[in-house]
Amino acid sequence: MPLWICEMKKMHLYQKGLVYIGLFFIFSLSSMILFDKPANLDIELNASQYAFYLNQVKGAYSEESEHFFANESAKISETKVKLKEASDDFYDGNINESEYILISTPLEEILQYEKGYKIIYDQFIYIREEPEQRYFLYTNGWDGLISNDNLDFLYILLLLVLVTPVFCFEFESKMNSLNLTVKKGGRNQALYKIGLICITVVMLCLLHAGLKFGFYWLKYGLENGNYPLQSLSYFATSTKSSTLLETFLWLTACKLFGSLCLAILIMFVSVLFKKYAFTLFTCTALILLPYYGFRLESSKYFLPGPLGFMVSSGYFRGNEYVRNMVNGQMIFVFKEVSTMLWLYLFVITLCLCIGMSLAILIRSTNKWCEIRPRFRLRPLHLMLVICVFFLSACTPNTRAGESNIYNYSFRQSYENEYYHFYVEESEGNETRIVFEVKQTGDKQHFVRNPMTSLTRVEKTVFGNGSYVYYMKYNSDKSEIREQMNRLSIIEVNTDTFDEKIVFEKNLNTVKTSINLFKSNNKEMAFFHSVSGFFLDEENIYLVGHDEIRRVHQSTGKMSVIIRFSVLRHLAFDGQTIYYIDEKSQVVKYDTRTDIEEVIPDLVTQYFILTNNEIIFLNRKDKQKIYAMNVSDSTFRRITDVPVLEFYFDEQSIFYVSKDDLKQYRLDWA
Amino acid sequence: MIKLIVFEFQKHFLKPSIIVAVLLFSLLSIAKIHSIQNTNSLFSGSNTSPAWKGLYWNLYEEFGGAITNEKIEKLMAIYRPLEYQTADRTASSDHNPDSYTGGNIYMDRNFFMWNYVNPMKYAYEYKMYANQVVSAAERNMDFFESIGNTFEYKKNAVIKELFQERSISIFSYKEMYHYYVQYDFSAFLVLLICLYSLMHVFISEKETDMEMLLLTTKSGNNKTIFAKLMASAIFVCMLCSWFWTVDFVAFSLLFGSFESASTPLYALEDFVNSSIGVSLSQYAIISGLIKTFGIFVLSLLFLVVSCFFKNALVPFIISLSIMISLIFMNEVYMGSGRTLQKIINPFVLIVNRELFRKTEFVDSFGYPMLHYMAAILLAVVWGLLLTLGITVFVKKNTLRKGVKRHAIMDL
Amino acid sequence: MKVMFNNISKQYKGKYALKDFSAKLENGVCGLLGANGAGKTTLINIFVGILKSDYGHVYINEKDTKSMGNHFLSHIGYLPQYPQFYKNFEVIDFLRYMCVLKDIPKKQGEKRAKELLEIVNLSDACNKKIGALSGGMRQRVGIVQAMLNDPSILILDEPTAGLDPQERIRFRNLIAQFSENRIVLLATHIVSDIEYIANQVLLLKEGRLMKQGSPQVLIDGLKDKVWMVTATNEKMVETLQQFKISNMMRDHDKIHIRVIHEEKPDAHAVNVQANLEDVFLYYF
Repeated sequence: MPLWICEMKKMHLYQKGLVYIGLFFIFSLSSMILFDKPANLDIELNASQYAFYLNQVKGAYSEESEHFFANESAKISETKVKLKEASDDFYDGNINESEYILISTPLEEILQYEKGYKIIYDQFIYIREEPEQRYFLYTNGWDGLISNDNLDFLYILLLLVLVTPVFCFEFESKMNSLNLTVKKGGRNQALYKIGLICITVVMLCLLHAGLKFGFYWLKYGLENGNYPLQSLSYFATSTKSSTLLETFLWLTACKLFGSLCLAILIMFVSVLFKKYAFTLFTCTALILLPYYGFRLESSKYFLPGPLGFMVSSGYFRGNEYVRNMVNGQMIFVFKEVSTMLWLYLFVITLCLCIGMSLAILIRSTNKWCEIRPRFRLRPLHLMLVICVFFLSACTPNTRAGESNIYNYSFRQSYENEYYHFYVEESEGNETRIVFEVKQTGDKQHFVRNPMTSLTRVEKTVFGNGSYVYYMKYNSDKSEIREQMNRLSIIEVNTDTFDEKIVFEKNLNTVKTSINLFKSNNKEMAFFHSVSGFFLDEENIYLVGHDEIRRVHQSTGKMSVIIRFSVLRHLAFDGQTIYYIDEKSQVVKYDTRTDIEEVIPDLVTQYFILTNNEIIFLNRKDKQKIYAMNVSDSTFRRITDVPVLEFYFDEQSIFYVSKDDLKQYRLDWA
Repeated sequence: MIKLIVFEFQKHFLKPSIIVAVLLFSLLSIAKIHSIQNTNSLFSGSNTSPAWKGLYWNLYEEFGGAITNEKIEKLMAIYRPLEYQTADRTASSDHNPDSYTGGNIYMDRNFFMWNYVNPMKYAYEYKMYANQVVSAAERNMDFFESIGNTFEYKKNAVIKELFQERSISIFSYKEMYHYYVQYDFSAFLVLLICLYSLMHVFISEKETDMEMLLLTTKSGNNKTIFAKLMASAIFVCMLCSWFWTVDFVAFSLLFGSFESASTPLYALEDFVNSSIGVSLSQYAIISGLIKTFGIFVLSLLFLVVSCFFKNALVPFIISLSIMISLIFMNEVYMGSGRTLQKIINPFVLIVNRELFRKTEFVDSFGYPMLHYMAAILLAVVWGLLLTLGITVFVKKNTLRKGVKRHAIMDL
Repeated sequence: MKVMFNNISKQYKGKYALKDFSAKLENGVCGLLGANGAGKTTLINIFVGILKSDYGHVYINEKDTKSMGNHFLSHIGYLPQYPQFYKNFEVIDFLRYMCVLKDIPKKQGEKRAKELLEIVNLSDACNKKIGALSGGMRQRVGIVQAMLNDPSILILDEPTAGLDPQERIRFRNLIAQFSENRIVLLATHIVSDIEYIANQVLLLKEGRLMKQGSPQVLIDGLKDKVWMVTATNEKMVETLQQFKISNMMRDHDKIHIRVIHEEKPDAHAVNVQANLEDVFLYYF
């Protein structure tokens, strides 16, 4: 049996290398499947709309694409106007239904991709800054694959556990002296060991890169690999001329080199110090401390050694600046590594690797077989010290069973058996949620936390029986300026006024304690724009400017379920969401079956959902108040006069007549 | 017993490699503190001109100390014209050597706003804020009493007690403390050193075949385990004391001030709702002690893991993975309102500003317990469980009273 | 086969572990006798190439080992002091591995390993893990691995340390068996290990060669210097303090004391035949 097979057997079987490699791939793949999030969630949530536009502009920026965007913007605005006009004409009786359908259908088709247009327009804004280097493409796959400089902990742990015993095991078994006295021991054996480790590391690195490539290819698709690197905003200012695929290959090559360098470093330290613990400690410190210790993200790339190469994406980034808020000057947040400097770093690191390999060989050589016995390497007591994941955690189910009607326009108030909750504007423009005890008329603060500093309570409540929910943003002041770091939805049991968090989202995009996790600003934008929310037994529904997102309370999985161009009004009865679409029709969306259907003949700009009826201003009948029975879809007219606005309570409807602008009351009875 | 502890300490911790690591890591920590100062301080060369620092300390003689109406009026007499002139951002931004800072009017405005006006405003208004909290807590007490929610009643009573008579009467330089309380890097360094040093405590006995010998000696069983634990505790305490001292001194020297020692903790704006009413210097000590305890609990975890193995390879990797996982969990729940998930992780003691910057409570059998107390109690429970684990899993002489069988799992 | 050490010196932190060591070895067992710290392991480590000497040369058949390079290693078989080997390897796997390291062809190695295991009576244990073997068995595995390449020089560093008398005798016999047509350099401080099997003995003290010769020559050098004194309990203490004692034996109320001394220590002392242990004690 050749020596390399023996050494391989020793490494992979006796030292359990195969087990560790297997575990690594299992954990690595599971973590990718479980924790991977798209770099731009909006694209995934609006995939088809986005793809519609992307397919039309994909590729390099051109005058045509510029015209396309100008035309498309105009077309969308125009379409909205036309649709509105057509609706008005139809509801005013100027055109019949077939004519209306004939006009509105093509217009609707145009508008259904509007959200996708917004996303691609953002991309257009980015691309037109440097049209030569930036192309239109679907970015999530490539962003996931190459746009991060996260250190792969599992991979580092694998290298440590795999490489450390290669020599330490010999010292532990006291075989080092015996190995020196056999013909193929000593230098030969060390050479085989180094070679074998290098081959293993190369295989592992390539397999891992292949696995990642495969994963992103399957999950997102990795098309347009021939587009320039700068097409990804992560590499916006890069001066490197490289395509996406080339960059991936370069990164893999760099990672490969970094991994080899780390493996050689581990072997070097283990041969030098002969102890497991010291080797592990030194190598861990040499990797982790520069990774965490430097203020500037790019500093780690300026160091020779394995770390920069193992992360490597920074070598392809350009200079990035922010304005120093104290002196107003631009300061670096990332300093580009020039190609020349990269070459220097590479050569220095390579020399270090060669030096370390030679040192390993020299220390593993039988003294009678030394080639040049003039110099010797003493044990160097060198210690080369150079060196969120955002929470979408949700608590289990909220209140099951009873459900309450939610009307978006009443999101600032809620009433249950005992209390009336509402947002009150106090002096100094301060708003707060208060509640009134129905029996006594007493008014109290709803949010009872006496410590109000660094907390902002949003002007929206949702109620479900005795459970009332509100939303707040918490901030910290660890820097000069206050920073928002968390959005929470709190459930208050109004029997006891005990509070419980049902949803939390970490909004902090700056460094945490040791900067273990970095997040993405794009994802945060939505959470800053939430204007209302409601819940059912399993999900929380967050209402944004132009969409409703559903977040599963236990898994945190988020999806866009409804899109609209303008949020006019929406309501929720515990299972069905009712909202007004572009054509002023009321659409009902079943949250359990995800089936959406337009309610026929219900055309309005405003409605209110009650327990069994939708009360609305009928656009088809001069804005008179109508009621539609939700169960049998029958309509009844409530007022004979056109109405400007209305509200109601248990006994009466109050409305403002369009004719005289006076308020009237109409009792239900 | 003391001799045994001394021997254990010498055996495991008085090693050149550990001493070298401590010294190098101390230098690294100082370098990190220097970079924090250089990046963030309003007086660092990279942010402002040297004139800022000189001007600040000149004015500090005038405005520092007790906050009085005269001082406020005097300060506002300087600041208001600056604010007025820069309000619409049409003032000239040209260099003006006659300006306060030697820069331009905007710099002057910023200088006063950040260094004097905002901090003094915060300090001045804090009493009012505390009174508001107390009033709100009192209202809550009445309300919760009326609806029979005793837990919330008691909670608000504690809040009332905490905030009663809180005020900041003195204006002082707090920038150094502002960044000192946010500094965690040295804790990470200490954890790495502990991870390395403690790996040897039980494993070295196996490596040197001393384990069996120890079992046959009178003090070789529980006494040795106890001595090892004590030696480890002493080492952790010494290591932490050294690093925390280096941190404090480095921060003070690099920020150029030992001021604010007697200023209350809530004078830092991030600690506006602080759960303890101590001074900044007291907080530095308390925080150091709690950090040390947190590191000791994690050290016990490292020791437990090492009990199962014959060499350092796998336990080191497992301990490192656990350490990283705990850091991960801590970061996930940092700032979260889910108090229990936050405090169950002993790492929260290490990044303990999270426990003190807010006043949060845990329901302890109907009694509202401040969450830092609960975190400490939970860490004590972790510590006890881990200690129990060590005493159970370390090999013992079978002739010893009470030992029914070997409790060893050498993997 | 002839081995010649020529003025070998080695210093550690300014102190000589070996100084000007020169000796000639020929086929047969050569006992390297010395107290702990005498420099035996240093000499062996230099000989096998683990350590480098500060000065001096080693010649094999008048050829400098430095010029032989890797070829030298095919001449030697080495059993280190307190070997552990790979505890999780099976005996046969370990031997196969050593065959590969020694560049022995697979079939030949397999055959040789089986033969040697048979000789050392370990055939039944060939599938056992090394970690599960007793100390004696592990030493026998050690000598098997050293003999795998049929070396012309077998170097054993304290091979009987920690073995029980039965194992020690078994081991001694094995060494005698393997010493045919080869040099066996056996470092020990246990005189009985080499007393009956060594052709020549090197006495090493504080890094210097004190004496070299066959056991008989060394024993003859002690002629008229070993005495048997019969003493009472009271006199025993006085004798112990005055003379170098090789052995003591109680016989009812009397004690027979074996004394090594140039002159007759007592009027009633009886001159007795010296042995190698007496030689060891005389020089150390």
